[in-house]
Amino acid sequence: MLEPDGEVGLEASARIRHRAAGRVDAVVLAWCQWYTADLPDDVAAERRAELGSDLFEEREHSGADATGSILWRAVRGIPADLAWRGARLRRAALGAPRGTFPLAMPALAHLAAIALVAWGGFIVWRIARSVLIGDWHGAADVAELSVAGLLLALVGTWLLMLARRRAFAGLVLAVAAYLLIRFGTYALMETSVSFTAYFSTSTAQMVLLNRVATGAAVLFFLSMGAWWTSPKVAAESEEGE
Amino acid sequence: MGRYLPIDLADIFLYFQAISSYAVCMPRRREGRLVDLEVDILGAGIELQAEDGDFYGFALAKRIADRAGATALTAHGTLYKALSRLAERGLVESEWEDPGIAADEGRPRRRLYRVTGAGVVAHRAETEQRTVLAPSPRTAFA
Repeated sequence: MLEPDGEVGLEASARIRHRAAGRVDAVVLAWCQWYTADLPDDVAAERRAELGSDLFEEREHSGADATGSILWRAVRGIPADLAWRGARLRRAALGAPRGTFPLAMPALAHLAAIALVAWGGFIVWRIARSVLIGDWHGAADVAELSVAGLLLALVGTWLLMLARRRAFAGLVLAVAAYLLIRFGTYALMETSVSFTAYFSTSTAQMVLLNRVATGAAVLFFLSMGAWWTSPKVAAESEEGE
Repeated sequence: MGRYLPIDLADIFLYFQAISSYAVCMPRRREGRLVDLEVDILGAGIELQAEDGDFYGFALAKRIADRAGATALTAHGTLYKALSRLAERGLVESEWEDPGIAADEGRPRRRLYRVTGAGVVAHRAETEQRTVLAPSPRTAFA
């Protein structure tokens, strides 16, 4: 359907903006950029070019009055955009090499990132509450590292949603996991009497559990980062075999 | 079991599927049938094609709205997903406009669609079937 340089040509074509185009057009195109980011290049280029053309034509037809219509069309189309994206991803996954789980692994990474943010939020909330009621007796650096861990987890979760930043997101989340699980557990101990009592009665097991959980989480996010590093190079080398 | 009951699991499944199709408000696709939006797309597409030879996304959305007397245009995602589905079924075909034409007019390239012969047949069959199936007010209250 596309000529040899079709993707490049279409991407260039999609960048042409109408003189009446405003911020809404940019937001709609950015949304399209996001939901097509990890789809095959030709599929993504065609969808972006088609939407770019549609926005231009609507501006040409209605000028500045089209803003409301463009926004409303984009918002109403979100479920269909996501359904279309899901169908395209499933189709791309059918041709993936065995054992690579191109849909399940990213989903698991998103879930793990959300769990990490929830864990970090819980720890920081416990620390803040403890500090506010004057009950905090832990080391300041443990609290600081937990807060830093939560911030990194939030940044990593956001980066995970940007297709081109996912490898870096894996690295950021690995650091966040180390801080939040390794030091967050100690911070939690300082805010909970029952947790402290449990820790003191089975110290060796708790330390071992802490190390194993930290190691597993860090390894998981590093593996995801490595898995997302230059996937095209890996795909090309497999095609060449 | 089949000896005593003249039904099998497939019949039971179809029976419950039929019940659920009445229970759920969302329109369900029947094999070989078109949903409302697809009928609208093919109908508007055939009209535009008769006038200009082909049609593109925004013109199609505009024509669908005009035919329905609506002010809101079909959502981007809904329209292009439906067009993609129709293309996969061979009911429409598309090609990208010559870059030179778009460049001369200073606009992005259009994706030009055409309703195929199969699309025209499917649209005619669907509209005829709907006309036959829709009861007239007189017969409904007879």
